Formats: sequence, structure tokens, C-alpha cells
Amino acid sequence: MSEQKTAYYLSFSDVIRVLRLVDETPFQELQLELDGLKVRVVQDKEAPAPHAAAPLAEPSVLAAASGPVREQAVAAAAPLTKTVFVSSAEGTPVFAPLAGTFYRAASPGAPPFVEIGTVVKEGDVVAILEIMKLMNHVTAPCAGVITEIRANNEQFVEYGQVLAVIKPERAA
Amino acid sequence: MKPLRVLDESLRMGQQALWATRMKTQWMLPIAPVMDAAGFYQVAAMAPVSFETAAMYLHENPWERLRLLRQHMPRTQFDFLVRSRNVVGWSPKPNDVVELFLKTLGKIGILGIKVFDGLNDYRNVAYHIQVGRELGLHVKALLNFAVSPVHTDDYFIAKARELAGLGVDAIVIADACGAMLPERARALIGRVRAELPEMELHFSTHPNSGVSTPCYREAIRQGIEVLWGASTPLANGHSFPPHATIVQLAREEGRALDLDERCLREMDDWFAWAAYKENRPCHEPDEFDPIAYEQTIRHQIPGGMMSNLESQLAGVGMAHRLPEVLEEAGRVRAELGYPVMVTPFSQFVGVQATLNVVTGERYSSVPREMALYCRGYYGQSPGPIDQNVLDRVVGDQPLIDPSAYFHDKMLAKARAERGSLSDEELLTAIFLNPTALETFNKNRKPIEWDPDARMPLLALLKELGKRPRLRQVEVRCGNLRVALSREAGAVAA
Repeated sequence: MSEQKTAYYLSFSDVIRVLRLVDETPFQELQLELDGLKVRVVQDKEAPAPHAAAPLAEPSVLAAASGPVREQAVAAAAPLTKTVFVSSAEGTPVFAPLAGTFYRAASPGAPPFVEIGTVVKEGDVVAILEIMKLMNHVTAPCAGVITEIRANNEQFVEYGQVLAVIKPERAA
Repeated sequence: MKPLRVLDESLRMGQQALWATRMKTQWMLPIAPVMDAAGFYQVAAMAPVSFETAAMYLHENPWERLRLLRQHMPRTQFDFLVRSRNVVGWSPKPNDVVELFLKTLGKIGILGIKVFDGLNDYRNVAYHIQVGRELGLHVKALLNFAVSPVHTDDYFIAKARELAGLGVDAIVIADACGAMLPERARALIGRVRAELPEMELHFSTHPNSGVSTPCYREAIRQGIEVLWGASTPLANGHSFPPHATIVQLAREEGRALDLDERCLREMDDWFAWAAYKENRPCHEPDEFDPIAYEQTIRHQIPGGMMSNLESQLAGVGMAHRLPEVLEEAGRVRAELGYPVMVTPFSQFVGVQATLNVVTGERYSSVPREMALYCRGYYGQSPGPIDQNVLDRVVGDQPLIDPSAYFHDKMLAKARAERGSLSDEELLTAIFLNPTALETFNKNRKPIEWDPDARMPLLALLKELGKRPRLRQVEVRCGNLRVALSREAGAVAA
């Protein structure tokens, strides 16, 4: 009996092959025999194209192995609009040097680097931008007074986005 | 010569490289009895990234996973990969956290650790090794391989001697980037073998460069004791070579190897099913491409990070400047004294190179961690850091003693802040960043799994039943016949 069982042993690889055949067949009826296994399926007559109809017809994994799953793919879609760098009449913008997570303080609970009204020197830290787990200081491009903070704490910001605005010293 | 042994990395590196570390425990436990019987030297249970991902994205308690693996694989010895002073997570940890972590692993029955430091500065892990030995754990340490002017055979031998002096149970010559070529494997493993004849030696490299098979062959010829591999559907690419390849090599080289090949085939079959169901890729072996190798070797950016870099650049509309960034990464790596391109140093190099190219002015924007690196916070760089970079990044700031925080009392502080938590819960709170911890605590649920999941016929019927366009299904297997129909009375026909 145990020998017979071995003869009829069905592997998961066989199951994957059968499911792929079922999902890809353009015919209404499919019959297959594989060693000790017989499978017969009948599809609806008015069945639309197999792939559109089968919610669980996963793409063939083994055949289509083409590189690691890239969960970042969505984020990678390049924005089509380009930010225009302008220094407005009201002040000098502080831009995000790369896309990343914006932090106003060095650590949770710590006081923010700057508030509206803070007087900064050129090179003072205005915020932190986390890029791939690295903490990047965003510094003031000029001396002056912070007049606007345009990003929220822990918000994901895009490259070139204005994070804050400084009213330059001379104009102050 | 002793029989060759194999350390299984399917559940650690396999899923990290090919599944973005998203394998749930439900895919591990049904095959656990088979893995337990396969005859592995050890099974890698977890690493920092699998700990974090389990909690943050799968909402599983990593400690519970470890306990379940222990319970369902009673004969197996497990190990946990410990990343230098990070241990798990991103912040550096003092000695008290290291000690509590190793004790907690021991209580669960995870009795092996492998420690690594990307700078091979073993001052960072000497305490891990000492406490691990005191607790009776099996302690392996990684000799991180890289190709650079400073990573000579003499350098590695000095480092291996240092590890032997610290009392490790085994040394792993670990080529994290797939940079090793067969001639170097022969020379380096042969020399370390000759220098430390009593030390248990392991070797691991990645198949992405296409030469892992000849490298493993050389390692076998040089008398390596243990090679690292993975079940075939979780092998290749940036994972490790398939177990089946190691079996074949041992056979060809006339080296005894006690692995049950029937168990290996059952594992392959199961993980192929897991990949199919979870829509995860399986990798074919890569072929050696000398041009690609020459390009990669200049920067040695790990494959796992390449997609991150690409998306960062695409986000700035500069995807076409990737070659420039990679070239810059090669320069930055040299200027930083050739750290081995593993976490966190691969990020330092990759992000700095990106910033240098994007801003158009080298080192004008420098991440905080990079500045700390240049001031010695992470330990001694393998080679000297470029003086111009030091002038620019460090200026007149003082150097930092990398061991200054080792004796901090982080546990007492964390206990005072968080109240009475179990050791496991306290460590979880220390390891995860605040956002991850909040996500985990809000969404955590008990690990669920189906003990009957490993029944192919049942799985086939269930899958066919899920396809709404199938009107009738009939399956015969041996003396079993199942007929299903969406119309009453149709089955009898």
C-alpha cells in the first residue's frame, strides 16, 4: 500500500503545473492525466478571457523569475513636474536636497530646530531629512528669520520641495 | 577529512533576498519537521531585518516565531545574526542590552549567534562573544570579505587571529557582496586554514556574480567545514547557493556530506508552492559576466540597495545619472577607507554618492551618521579616511571614542520609562523605532498557521474551488475521486 501511495504521490510542483494549465487554457473543457492524477474542468461558456476572469490566477512565478520584488517600484515613478527654483520676493526658500522624511527635531520629544520667528545664521540646522535611514541635516542657505515652515513633521517630502522660508537678514 | 556540513539560510537570507523579508511564519512551520530531519549543521532563524520586518509589516511577534520554530524543530540548533552594536535596529546598544538579548535568546532555546561588524573592528563585538560564551551559546564571527587595496590576505589573517583570540567557536569567511573570485577563495581560505588549523571555518558567498559554484568548490578543496546554502526556490540571486548545488559539489569532490536529499526535495517543493502562492520570484543561477563584475567591483554596492538608489534618483528625475552615482560611490568608498559594503556602511556610501552627484558639490550635504563615521564613532575604518574629506566633514570637531557608550545603563532607563514589561517586550521596545513599535503594538496578532497546509491534493482542490469561472471540476488521484459542480445534479453525470 505504501508503495502504491508513492506512485500516486502528487507534488506541489505538479499542482502548480495543473493550475497554470487551467488558468491559461483557452478551451472550455480541459482534461489531463498525470501519472496517477486525473483532472477535468469545465468553464462557463461565456467566460471572458481566462486571465481577466480568474481572481486567483497568479502570474507564473517560476517561469517569470526576473529579479527581486521591488516594493519601491511605486515610489520610483518619477514625478513629471519639475520644481522651479525661485527666490521669491518674500524670502529665500529652503529646499529638500533629496526625497525623504522630514523631521523638525533631532529626536521625538526634543524641541524643534526652528520655529517661525527663529533667527538663523547661514549653515544653521533647520530640519532633518531622513534618506534611507540616514539623518541628513538641512541647513539655512542664508542668515535671516524663519517666516514659514512648509512641511509637517514626519511628512515624506519630494526633491526640491520647499521646506521652509527665510526672510534674509538684509531685508529684515 | 571531516564530512562537509551545511548551514540552512532559507528562512533568513533566502527570504530576505528574494521575498523582501516578507515570509510569514505560516510558510515556515508546515515544513519544519522536514527541515528538522534534513541533517543541517544549523538553521539560521532570524536577523535584524527579519525581526523588524516581522513586527512592522507582518505584525507577528518575532519572539513568538522563534519559540514556534524551536518547538517544531526540536533537533535543530538555530542561530541569530547580530549586527555589531546595533544588535537589532538602527541605534547603537550598550553592553546591558547585548547581555539581556543573548540571555533572552538562550531562554527560548536559540543557542547560536553569528556576530558581524562591517569594519571588522572586533572591539564592537568582543563583549557579544564573551557573554555568548559565558551563556553557553555557540558563537560564530564573520570575517567580512571585500575587494580593496587594504583587504589583503595578510589583513584577513590578522583579523582571523584576533577572532581566535576572542574565543569564537567558528569563523565565517563571509563575502556579502559576491565579490570573491575562485582564485581568491582558494588562496584566502587556504591561508586562513593553514594559519588556524584547529578553528572551525565557514564560507559563504552569493550567486549574483555567477561564480559562487567554483568558489564553493575551492572552499571544499581547502577543507572548509561548513558552507551556507538555501532551499532552491529561496536560493540564487542575492541569496546563497542552493543546497542541491552543494550536494553535487561534495559528490564531485569526493567529500562526505550527511544531508537527506529526500528532505531537500520536499523543502524545494514546499517553498516553490509558497513562492507561487505569495507571488514571489524564484531565481535561476546567474552566469559570470566579466564586464558586469568589473563594474560592480569598483563600488561593491549590494544588490538589495541598488533598487533603493534607482528609486531615489528616479524621484529626483535623475534616473539617467545612475552610472555617474555608481562611479562616485566607488570614489566615496575609497575615500572612506573601504568599509565593507554591508549595513550601515553601504547606505553611507550610497547616499553620500547620490548627494554628491545631485547637489553637484561633493560633500556639501553630509548625513549626520557620515560625520559620525568620519569621527570614529563606528570604530576603526579598514583603511585611512581621505584627509580632504576629513577636513570638509569633520573640521575641528574632536574624534569620538567608539566605546564611550558601552557601559551606559540603557535598560534601567528603558524600564523606568516603560514600566513593567517582560524582557522580550522591553527588547522589542528598544529595538524598534517609535513608529515601528506603534505600528506593531496597534496591529500585532497571534501567529496563525495551518498544520494541514502541506497536502498538495487538498491544495489543488482548494485552488480550483476558488476559480469562479470553473463550472465543473473533477479530480481523481489514486482511489480518490472528487467531483464538484456549481449546478445541482450535474456531478452524478
